[in-house]
Amino acid sequence: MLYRHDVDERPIFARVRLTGQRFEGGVLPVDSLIELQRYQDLVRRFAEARDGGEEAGDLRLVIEKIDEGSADVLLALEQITAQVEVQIGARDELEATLAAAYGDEEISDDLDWDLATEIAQLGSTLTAEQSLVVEPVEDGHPRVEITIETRKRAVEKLDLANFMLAPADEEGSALATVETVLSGRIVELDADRQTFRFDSSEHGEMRGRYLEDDMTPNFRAVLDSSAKAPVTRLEGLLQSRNGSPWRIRDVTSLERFDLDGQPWQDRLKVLAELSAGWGEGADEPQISITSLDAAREILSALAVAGRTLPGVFPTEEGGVSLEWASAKAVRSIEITAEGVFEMFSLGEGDFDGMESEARDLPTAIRFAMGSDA
Amino acid sequence: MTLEIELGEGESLIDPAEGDEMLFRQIPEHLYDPDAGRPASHAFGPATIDAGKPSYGRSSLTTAQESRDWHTEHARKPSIAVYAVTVEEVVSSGTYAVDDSEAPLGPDEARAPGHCFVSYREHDKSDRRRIRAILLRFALDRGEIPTTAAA
Repeated sequence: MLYRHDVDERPIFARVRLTGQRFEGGVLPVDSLIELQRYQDLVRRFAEARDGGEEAGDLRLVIEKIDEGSADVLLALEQITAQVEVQIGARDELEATLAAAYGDEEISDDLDWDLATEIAQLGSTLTAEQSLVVEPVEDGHPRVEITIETRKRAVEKLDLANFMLAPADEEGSALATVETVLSGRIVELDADRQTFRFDSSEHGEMRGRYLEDDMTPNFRAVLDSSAKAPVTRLEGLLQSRNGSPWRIRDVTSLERFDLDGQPWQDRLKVLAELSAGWGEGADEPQISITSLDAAREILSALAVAGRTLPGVFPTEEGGVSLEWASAKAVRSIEITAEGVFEMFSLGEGDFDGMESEARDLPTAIRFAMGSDA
Repeated sequence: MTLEIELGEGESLIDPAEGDEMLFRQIPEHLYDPDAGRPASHAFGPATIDAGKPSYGRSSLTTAQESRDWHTEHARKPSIAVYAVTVEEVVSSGTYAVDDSEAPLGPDEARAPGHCFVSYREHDKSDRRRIRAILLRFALDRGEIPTTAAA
């Protein structure tokens, strides 16, 4: 027997009771429907996660009946399909997760991050003296009562406290998401859950996740806790809560810049970690890894040969400028973001400079070797 | 080389006869390499946002310290050092300095005391690189102008 209650021969799938003065007499205010919508969405998400496809999540719940005493809402599946067993399993899983979040049990480590966010949103429209009760329709599931107070603890358990308890907008979400490129270091990786911890040079430590399993080797490659850990450029979605950067989602690419422990390492790291908009214009791109790699090679070659090291500067176009300058002369190699070497020299007493361009590193190194301004 | 001088509303050429007057240039952190102990040549030229008119401060109208403090308070990036070139040195590099203290300001715009600019407007990429390098060379010869960070 799958269902405990039947109304008009349609099996009851779930029961959600809204209590509080405004629900008395079996009244269901329109602005409370969002909570029922959230419940339905959560069942869908669990169903999709169980089935691995969208078909099981294609379910629609209907309000079968609203009883008095409060708004005692009985929900039924609009259509019974071949996916009903998966959908019932999803409902049970949702209710068990709610019971864990609102009770004393541990929340499963396997709980998807976004799903946890959505669970935490359930009940966010409730005000004082109101509650949302998920009443089990099967034996064995505990009753879950959501109020402002109980939800606070549940949200903390879901590790979302600071975000979810903040004032929410009309949609019940205070999240803002932007595409971004961040620099920093991957400090922890959970390949099974495809999550990681990222120490952003700009925003501090954040959690993140990626969607594509084939990115795991890339993450492993940049995971390094040593002093020579590479600077990692990570492209994905940055989510902020209440205006503060919070976590990274849906990483689409990783790029690494290797540090070599040499004296110029710190300077190159500064450049590698510059965020977009680092200069006066606010629209400067990040310094390209291509130009940083080339700069490191030139610096290394100079050090091996015992030659004078240049000043190292970012350029507005996302490249690196190496400059040997004194009160007498100036020589420079501007490495463009694409890796083209623009060489320039202004000799002692000269007011006209010499320019040349190369696309190969050896030519640039030969020019650098002659630079002792 | 003949250079056609372009002046806009409220702008006036700083007389090359005032050749000894120093023009202070503020150096933001990203254009100063602490290992090398010097600024980049780019620090003496315009960023794209400057539209060929990088800001300087006239020593006859402001001090290096006042100029630095104003920059740190109003610009996107604080100044960490002040260097200077003279009007004569600007002219020798192949361009000129313009006092724009009377130029109209847009809404929400502010202008530093003693503000002027070195004109790069008429110069292409090669020329800009050359002028920047010449100004850097002069500035390094003079050395950093002593100032302190704002309290």
